[in-house]
Amino acid sequence: MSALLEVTGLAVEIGQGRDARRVVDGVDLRVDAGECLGVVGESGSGKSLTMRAVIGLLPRSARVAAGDLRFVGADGELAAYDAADLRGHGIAMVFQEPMTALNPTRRVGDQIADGVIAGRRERSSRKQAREIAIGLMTEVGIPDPATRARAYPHELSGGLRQRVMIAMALSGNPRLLICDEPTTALDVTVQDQILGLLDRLRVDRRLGLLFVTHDLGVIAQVSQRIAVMYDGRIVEHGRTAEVLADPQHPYTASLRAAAAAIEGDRSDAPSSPAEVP
Amino acid sequence: MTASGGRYAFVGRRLLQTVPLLLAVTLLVFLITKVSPGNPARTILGPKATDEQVAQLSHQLGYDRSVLGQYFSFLGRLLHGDLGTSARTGDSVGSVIGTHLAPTVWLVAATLLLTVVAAVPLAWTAATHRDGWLDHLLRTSSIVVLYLPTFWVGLVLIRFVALPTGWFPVSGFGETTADHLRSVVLPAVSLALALAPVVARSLRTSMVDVLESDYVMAARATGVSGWRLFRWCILRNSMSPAVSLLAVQVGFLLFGVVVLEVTFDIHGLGSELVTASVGKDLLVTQGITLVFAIAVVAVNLVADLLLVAIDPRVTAS
Amino acid sequence: MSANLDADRQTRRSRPRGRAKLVAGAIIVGLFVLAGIFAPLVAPHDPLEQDLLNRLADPSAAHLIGTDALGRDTLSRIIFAIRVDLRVGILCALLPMLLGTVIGALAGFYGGFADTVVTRLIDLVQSFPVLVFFLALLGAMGMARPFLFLGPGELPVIIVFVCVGWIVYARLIRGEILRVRELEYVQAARAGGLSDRRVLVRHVLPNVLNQTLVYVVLDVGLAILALATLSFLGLGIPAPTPEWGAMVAENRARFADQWWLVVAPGLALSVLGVGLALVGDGLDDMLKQS
Repeated sequence: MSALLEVTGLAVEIGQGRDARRVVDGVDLRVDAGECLGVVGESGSGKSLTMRAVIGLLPRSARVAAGDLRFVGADGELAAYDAADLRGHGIAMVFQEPMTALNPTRRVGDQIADGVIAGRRERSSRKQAREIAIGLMTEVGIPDPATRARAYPHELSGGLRQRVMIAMALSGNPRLLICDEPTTALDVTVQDQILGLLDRLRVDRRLGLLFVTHDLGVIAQVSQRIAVMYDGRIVEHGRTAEVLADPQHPYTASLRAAAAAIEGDRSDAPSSPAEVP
Repeated sequence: MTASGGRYAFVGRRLLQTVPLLLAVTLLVFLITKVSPGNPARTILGPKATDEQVAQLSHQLGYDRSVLGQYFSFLGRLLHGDLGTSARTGDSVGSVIGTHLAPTVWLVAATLLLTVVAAVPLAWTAATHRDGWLDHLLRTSSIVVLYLPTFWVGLVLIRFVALPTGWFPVSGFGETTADHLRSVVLPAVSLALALAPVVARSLRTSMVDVLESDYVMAARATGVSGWRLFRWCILRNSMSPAVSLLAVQVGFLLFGVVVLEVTFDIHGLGSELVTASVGKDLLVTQGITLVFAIAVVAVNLVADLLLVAIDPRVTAS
Repeated sequence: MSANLDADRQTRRSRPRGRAKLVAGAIIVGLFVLAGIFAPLVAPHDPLEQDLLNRLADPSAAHLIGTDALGRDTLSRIIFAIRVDLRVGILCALLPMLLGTVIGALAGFYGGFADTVVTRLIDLVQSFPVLVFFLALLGAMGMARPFLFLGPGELPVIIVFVCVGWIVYARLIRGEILRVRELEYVQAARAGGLSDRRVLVRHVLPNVLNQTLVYVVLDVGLAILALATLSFLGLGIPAPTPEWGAMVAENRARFADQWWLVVAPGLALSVLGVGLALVGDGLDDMLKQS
């Protein structure tokens, strides 16, 4: 297996001076090409900050306090990286809420094309970038992409917006895709379609996926390996099927019990109508 | 799509709203001639006229009718472009406005240009260096500059910039386009000095919001940065509050233009208005005030339409 | 989470900054007020006394800022001008506040037609070049004679200010009443027989007092500036009353040589204005945090 990303001993702090608090501590992660690593934990467990540290987009009040972040280079070897150089063509990210993560005043085709121009190593003209953007929209399953490219985000459905978001993340031709709760804001049926799409992209493009969620059902569906985060640390780590079948850490066990209870509720509820793209 | 239909409806509604507003504005402007103490016919004819002559002129001018009746006849004449004649020169008010319009338009345009050119980089620097010295300076100065008298700032610029350097004329508007350009520089600077920090502060606040938004982070995650980030994601999204602010401030801007025309001896609508007002030339005063009032209504209309153009989501009121 | 931390940090830092601004502004304004009250003691000469043998004198020990074209002492005129400018400025801020509070309270409590009229009026004044209109009105009204304790030219200026200054206060109090009305405990109190007047006194006024105070301070400065500007244009305080804007206009012709005759009154105006702005801004900073 060829590693794309290796994180060792990562610590993130929030606040300054005496007020500084360590919200991520001693986190180790590794993602291979064509593999999906699920990171699971409740909100506040530090999983989102870990992801934002990897892509170098921490909020103003937070910073990396310790640890090594290494990414695969052109020679296939892992090396320390400057996230600003890697964003787009090395590491990209799909956000939770496509309504707020898409620029409300710019046509979605242009936003994808922006990523093509900025994120790729090779230069592309605006015209070429638009064509590539329409190709990406086709790849992520947006019907009639040439027309949709001219739409503004608020004119699209939630599922289509998330597909646009994924096309945007793919615009720089990245090798690692961070997915931060990409289906939480969506209907259940649309959620399945998006998970299927991400899985297909992983195989087709040999993408590494770093998939963050609090939903064990989702993680079971998409990931090969799983890392459980609790209170800023990774408390359990292993093959998804094994961890879920036989949790070693009490926190994982309680998560699984809670998920099972919710799953029971959900099967009683009427399923939401299928989304018409 | 339905959204664009909503936009047309918005524009239509907004245009309709200006009709009662224009009526109210014309009523206010009309009142200028009514607050003047004494008989206006007497003022025009002078102290030597007989009472019969005064009564006759009052009747001719309709001053013996009810105020509302006078207002409607004023509106009727207005629709035919008839604003009356100047009590001092006998010229038609329309021609007075026509001959003095150009310098005022030049000044307004130069001030707006200078304000925007100064405000955008100031706001951007303050937004990207939050809590830096420029940020604090901008916060305080945006209030303090409003308290500097523009006429005095203008005079100081004349005395300590125009006079020693000779780069700019000390007064007047000149003959050629190059003259015009040079003569509006200092007045525009005086006014932009008051306006730019205010606009910059508003821009800075919205830029900070935009910088912290999810979509800027998402764009940065695709590798967009620097100038491209500014142009593609930030400028347009942070413009709306500043456009609204400029629209609200346009009355202040026009008053500033009036004051600076007097300060720099530029014979535009503003200095003509002051001359007419001081000389109790009521119809000229009324006509020019009407021009300024309509300009404000128009600017507010244009600003609202701009907001729709900037943000495709704006369709409701 | 991170947003909260940022907010905490700002609170701690901008409170003392607000106080520093307030103190600096208060010192400036205080000096002006004292000089205005004790003008006859502070000023070295009579502001109206002409000394035709000593016209356009350079600054000297006898005349610190020189004399004008009629031989009047510039410093004394600047000091006496404080009286006119502050008097008009304060009235132009307080009277609209009273009027606006009453109108806003009426609109807020009675709603319906009264509210519609007030909101329409607010819209109108906002889409109208108010200051330009002042200028036209002042010319048409002419310089009024002295009125009660007001000097010549002061009454028309105050009238036009009252006509538009009430808006901010009316909007402030109307919004607060609409907000407070929705609160459950106020609705319960009204159902229990608490009168509108007592709701106003107990629940509305305390909430708007701080903001009103800030507006009044800032408005005093803006009113003084407007008065000086109108006087500069020849539409405010008539000669020979000393007023800063009028002094700038009177001495304009001498600007190339005796520049201090123009710079000094404008500087006095600017410094007082900045002082008031600092007080208002500092108060705003401090009140927002408490």
